[in-house]
Amino acid sequence: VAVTGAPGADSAEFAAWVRPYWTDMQLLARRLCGPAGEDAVQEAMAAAWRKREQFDPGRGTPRSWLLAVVADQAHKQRRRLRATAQITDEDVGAAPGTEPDVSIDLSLVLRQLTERQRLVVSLFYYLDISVAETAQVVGCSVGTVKSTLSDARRRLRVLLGEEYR
Amino acid sequence: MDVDDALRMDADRWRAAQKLELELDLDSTLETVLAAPHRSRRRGLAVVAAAAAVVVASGGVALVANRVDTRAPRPAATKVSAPTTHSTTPPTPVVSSSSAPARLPTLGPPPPGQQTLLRSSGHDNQTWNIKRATGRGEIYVACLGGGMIKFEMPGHGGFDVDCTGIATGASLPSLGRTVRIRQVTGQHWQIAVFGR
Repeated sequence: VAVTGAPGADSAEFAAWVRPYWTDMQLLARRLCGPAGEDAVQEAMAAAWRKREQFDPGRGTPRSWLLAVVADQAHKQRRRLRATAQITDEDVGAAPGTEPDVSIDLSLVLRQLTERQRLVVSLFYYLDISVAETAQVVGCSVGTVKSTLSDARRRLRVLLGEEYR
Repeated sequence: MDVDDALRMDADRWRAAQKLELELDLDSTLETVLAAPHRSRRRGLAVVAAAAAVVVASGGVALVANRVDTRAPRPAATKVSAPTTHSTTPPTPVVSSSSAPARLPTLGPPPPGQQTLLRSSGHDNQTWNIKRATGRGEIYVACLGGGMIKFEMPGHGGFDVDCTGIATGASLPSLGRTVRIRQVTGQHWQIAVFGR
């Protein structure tokens, strides 16, 4: 059920507002931070609660706003953990229990994309959200998302070799 | 294979695998966040780091978990003092239960000089973030009704607390981490963190 209104003033209303997107928030945090995603999504909840009055339904959906908060916190989390060497690229993107053929290749090469490309690829492919909503999360135009995706795919083709076109 | 197809295939498998692993409970997380909504992680870590040396020795935070099987009739009223085995100045939270069979008991007020940093309740194996509320004292775990509570910290192992009888004190081996509470024998737990 999509919730489009304001976050609500009290915690119960806020929880109800967040609940439909809670899984997506965790998925994005896990995608961008690996195991450290739990901390990132909790920081995002704190930030979302503090900033809830800044949500503007005219500028995007609740999901895009919440995912933008998660992306911001994930960026900060990665920067913090890299500074203290608590995170490596091996922590990010690996899918436990998946078959090795495609996933290993992709988890390796996805690390070589730019941070913006990884965010856009994560949102569009791994969270399966639309280009328009991806643009709201990233804070850019639809055209920029499309070109970022195109650049990312082109880069992946080079990195993956001739088997991929 | 087309890169677009490869990404979609990988994403499908990743989502399926991840959704089984997602463990954070929204209500518990929100409750934790609301317990210290203005405390940034950076400041929190600084507080934790500065307090870490003092924490274990000084005491002051009580973490009380109360195990209750809501399906079974409960005693009419219970009053329990906090653990006293691990601190020279043990906290004295009061745990009381009402006689209403369908409700969890209500944890009492914090000991004198302390405040409630966090209250939460939940069910088995929920993940609960302790980092915002702790860092200012030795942590005690107590529960009523017996049984074991497992505390697990991803990447840092965990420990069991035997709550047979009244209460057992235990200090968490690390602060500032996400803690997974696994109530092994019960169906519900209720938890409170008291501190200065």
